[in-house]
Amino acid sequence: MSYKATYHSRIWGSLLFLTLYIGLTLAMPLAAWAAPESAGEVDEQVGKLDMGEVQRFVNRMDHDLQSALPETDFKALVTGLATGRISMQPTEIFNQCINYLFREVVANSALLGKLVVLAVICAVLTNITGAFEKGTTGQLTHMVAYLVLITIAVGSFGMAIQLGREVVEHMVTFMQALLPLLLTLLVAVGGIASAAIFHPIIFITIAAFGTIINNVILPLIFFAAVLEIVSGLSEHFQVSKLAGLLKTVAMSVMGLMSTIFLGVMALQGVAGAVADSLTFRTAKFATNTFIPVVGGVFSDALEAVIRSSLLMKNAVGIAGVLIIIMLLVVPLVKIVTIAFIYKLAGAVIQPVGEDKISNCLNTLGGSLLTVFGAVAMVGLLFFFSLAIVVGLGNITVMLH
Amino acid sequence: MDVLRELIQTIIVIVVLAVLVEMLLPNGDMRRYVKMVIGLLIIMAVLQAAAGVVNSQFMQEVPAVTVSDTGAPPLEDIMAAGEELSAINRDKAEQQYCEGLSGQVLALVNMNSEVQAVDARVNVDRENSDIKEITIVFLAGDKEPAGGAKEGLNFTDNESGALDVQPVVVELGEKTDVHEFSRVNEATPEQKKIAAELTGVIAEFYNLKPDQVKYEFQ
Repeated sequence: MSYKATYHSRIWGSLLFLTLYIGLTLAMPLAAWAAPESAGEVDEQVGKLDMGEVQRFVNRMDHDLQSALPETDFKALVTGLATGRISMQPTEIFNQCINYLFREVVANSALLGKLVVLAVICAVLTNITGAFEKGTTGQLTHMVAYLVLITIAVGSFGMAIQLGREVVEHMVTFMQALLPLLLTLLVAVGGIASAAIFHPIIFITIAAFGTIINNVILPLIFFAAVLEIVSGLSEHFQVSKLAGLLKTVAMSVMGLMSTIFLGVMALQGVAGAVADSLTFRTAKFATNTFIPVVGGVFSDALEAVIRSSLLMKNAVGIAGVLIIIMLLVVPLVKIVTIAFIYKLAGAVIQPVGEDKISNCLNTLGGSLLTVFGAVAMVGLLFFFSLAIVVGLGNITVMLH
Repeated sequence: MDVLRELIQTIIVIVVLAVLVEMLLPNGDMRRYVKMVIGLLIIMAVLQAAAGVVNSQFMQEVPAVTVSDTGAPPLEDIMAAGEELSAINRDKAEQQYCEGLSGQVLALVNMNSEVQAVDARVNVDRENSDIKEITIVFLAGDKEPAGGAKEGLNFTDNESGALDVQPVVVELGEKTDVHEFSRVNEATPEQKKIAAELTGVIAEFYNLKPDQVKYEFQ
């Protein structure tokens, strides 16, 4: 039980952190960006960037996701965010999430109904086993009903896993379209060394992370859930320890990978920013020294122009985070809803006296929350990598 | 992962069979033996999978991921696009710099009331952003009095404040008074001397070589 408690606390901890961090990020900087005099410059710079790949991705997104975005044209979204025309209200986003959650719960009520009815049938069969001529007849019918219930549960569990895999794939594709844009802007604000350092690392880690989540971690969670269900078939043949082992391996791999990912990104980012600022400062020092009166004018003028690129880079980053959130929120809400349905069915069934089924549904709900945690972790890491690339430009300019 | 999938499938089959056998068997000692045999079968399945993993060549199965595999654009393309944007920024900054410097030079030169500077062209070395050359353009002849632009031309202010230009009538055969329309383009020696002094001051002020600051008259 202790490892389960640790998993759940980790999952909810990361969820809470993700929500708080994204909420604060969306709420705080946008109001400070409303600088109407820079609107023309931002428009001009946006026109010079190739945003075709990102736009194609946005066009391929589901209609639901597109309608949730404040602007479906990525260029207009970036310009709107940079000039303060588009402002995201965290309360509005939260309300939409809650509405969607309730809609999903209602849509999945049929699954809840099936699970509860089958569980009640199982409970009745268990109680009337003594009425059959042979006890095994009752056991057999009970087992058949249990297997039907498991089939339904595993079907929706597999669907949730597939949903998670698709989200990870979409996020990886989107990051691969967005990052060249951000790195281009990073080069434009003077982060040449940072971009050169980041280019191989960020693309390889994102692709590797997506592949490992899809091909190792999610299947391991699925296998663990299946073994938990199999353990519920008979009290005498338990494989729950093997299920626990698989789950531990999955979580350990994920923890290790996320630590390495963030550690490498943060260290490389700081190293790149310092190298870039050193180059810029040397040039600035030379200019200032040899032309005493107006020496600083050119570097000041250059910094002022660079700030408009920086503003746009931050706007592109925020727009990217917004799309990552949109890609994440809808499937995550679906997964959470199914987990909630399992947990609710388990809670409803327990008083009927069918502990085996109740535990099985409860375990499936827990495994779905682990899937939710894994997918949310990918989103969180991609969000961090965007934040690091965006923050890196700010540090580079700040160190000028 | 295929090894693990096969192991899980085997375990599921064994457990389901065990449950069926358990139901079919009569109550007695036989159940204990069956349970042990099924347990041994599960251990064998796990050991078989483990042996398969130990004997396999791990590193051959791990793909070597390179940047080109990830579908990322090459670094050269990103650098080229970024540097293009950077060059545009630099041009804009250079333009602002030249305009600012030109204004400063004009303000300094026009502190001398004996000559009038109308323009200061600043050339900047693109590589290291140093000042390459400053050319100050002075107005030759008498210094233009205030409102001199209207001199010689027939301007009248209408009621709305806009300027109306009266038509100029050219009459052939009569002597036209051109004195009011033309300017003397020749600078006086006095003006040339003052201009040379001022360019020297500007060169010293900006820490430039004397030949980097030039003047001309118009």
